[in-house]
Amino acid sequence: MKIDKQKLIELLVENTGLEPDAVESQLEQLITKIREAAEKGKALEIKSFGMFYYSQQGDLKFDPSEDLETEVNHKYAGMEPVEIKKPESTVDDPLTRDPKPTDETTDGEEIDTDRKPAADWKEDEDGDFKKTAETDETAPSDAPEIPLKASEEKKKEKPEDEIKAEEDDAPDKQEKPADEDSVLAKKDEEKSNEKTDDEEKEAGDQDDFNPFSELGRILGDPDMADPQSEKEKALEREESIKSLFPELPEQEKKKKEKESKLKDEQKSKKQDRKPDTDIPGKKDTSVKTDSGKKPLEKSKSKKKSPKKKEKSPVTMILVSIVAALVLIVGVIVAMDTGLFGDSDTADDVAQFETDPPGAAAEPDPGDALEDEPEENGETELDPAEPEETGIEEETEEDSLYGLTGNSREIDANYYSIILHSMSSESNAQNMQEQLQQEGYRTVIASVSTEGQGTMWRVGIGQFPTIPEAQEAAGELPQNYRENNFIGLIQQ
Amino acid sequence: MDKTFIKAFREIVRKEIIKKNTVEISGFGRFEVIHQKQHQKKKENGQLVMMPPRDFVVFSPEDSGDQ
Repeated sequence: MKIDKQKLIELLVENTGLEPDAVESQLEQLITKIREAAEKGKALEIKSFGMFYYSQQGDLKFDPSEDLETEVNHKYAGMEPVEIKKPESTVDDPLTRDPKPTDETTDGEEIDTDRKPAADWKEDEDGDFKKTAETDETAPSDAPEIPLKASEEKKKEKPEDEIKAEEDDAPDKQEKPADEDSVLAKKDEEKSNEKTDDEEKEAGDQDDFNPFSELGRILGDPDMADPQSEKEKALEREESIKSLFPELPEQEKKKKEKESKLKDEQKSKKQDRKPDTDIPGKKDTSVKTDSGKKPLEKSKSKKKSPKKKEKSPVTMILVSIVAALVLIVGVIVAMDTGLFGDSDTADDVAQFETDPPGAAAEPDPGDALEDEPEENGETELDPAEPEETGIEEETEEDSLYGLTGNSREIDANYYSIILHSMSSESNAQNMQEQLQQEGYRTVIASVSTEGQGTMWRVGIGQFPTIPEAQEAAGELPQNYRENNFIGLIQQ
Repeated sequence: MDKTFIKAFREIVRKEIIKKNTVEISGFGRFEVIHQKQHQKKKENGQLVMMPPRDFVVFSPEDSGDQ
């Protein structure tokens, strides 16, 4: 509503009992006086109203008096700024933990910019940096030590075993929040993929120059297989040897073997992968082959492995054993972790993906074990940080928070969309009932304010975070959407 | 210009402003209340806070006003 001069004069007449003309002239006098004072560089103050003065730019300015401001803002009396993010000096684990798994780099950056003051933080910074570096690159062997110290100091509150867990994790580039586990797992897979890919490449290279490496792989085959399949293989091998090289002396066999390997170089790569898949296949469904390739390879391996045994130079055996062990360990672990469940039907690409965990086998289970303690440790620590627990609770129990339904008892602080701020409790309760009937979950909070006494805030919805409350507020009917504020309800 | 008038002027304008009404005095200026929604504010120390909503009393002098 707009009060123009005419209306104002009417009101003044009413209030003072003066004649309209008199009021008007008084008003003019007042205006003139204000202007004159201001022009002289003085401020004219009307008590309990405000002060008129000219700004340096020559504009007439008005500063409302404090009590006028307070009165205008009575609805918001007692409202304090709500902290969303802690200042740098007090920033702690929440920052390092909050960041979502995919934000590791941004996490690092945040920490970089946020943490300057204390020595502790610098160490954190280092640690966190290392973390990101570790995860982005591939395992610098000495890097973990520094993050260790940082994490130890950073989380002094943590029980020893938790720290240990972190220590253990650090070398494995796993010093991360629990909620990043899945991503970590993925990353590990990727890393191990890379590793095994590399290994395979190396193996392939070795094939080019050194046929023995292939022998190793072939030797590895039977070892990796189940006893039954081993026996079967052994039998098959003997048969194939007899049938294929009945009259050949050992030396000739060796030569032939090398030749065949050279010819089969291309195939040998496939063999590298197939042994892994063959084994699980046998494990799961006894001797089973998906394609024509595998049988071929088997026969090849049969041919070659026996020869090797016959040759039995110490060096050859050693080389082959080492190569075999690598593959065996890899495959066994991979099978244990159930990665090869579908390997029978999997194509080469899939096999590639599953191979890596095998190669990186030993680190993997360790990581998994070490991750869990850290996870526990963090969830235990979380309660100390309201916001974070709020988020977690939200994900775990969606029904705890929401806009509609019945309000729930929530132990932690939460946010609500405040629609009314009343000076009387009964009025507030009336508003609450009304909102309740509209289907909202309602909250009443009393706030004692200076000058205004106790204010009763009527809010709808319970939200763990401000953004969620804002989102919900944005979807309210217009009359609520335009006039509300998010309030922190403290328990 | 007597005190009663000034007092009455103050009370009336105050009352109207608090009711969020705009008081426009031609030849002088306009009093109005501007609502500022709650907003996020980042402090120099890196702290991020949600500032509560606030109403401001704003006076806009009339352009024609001579100085």
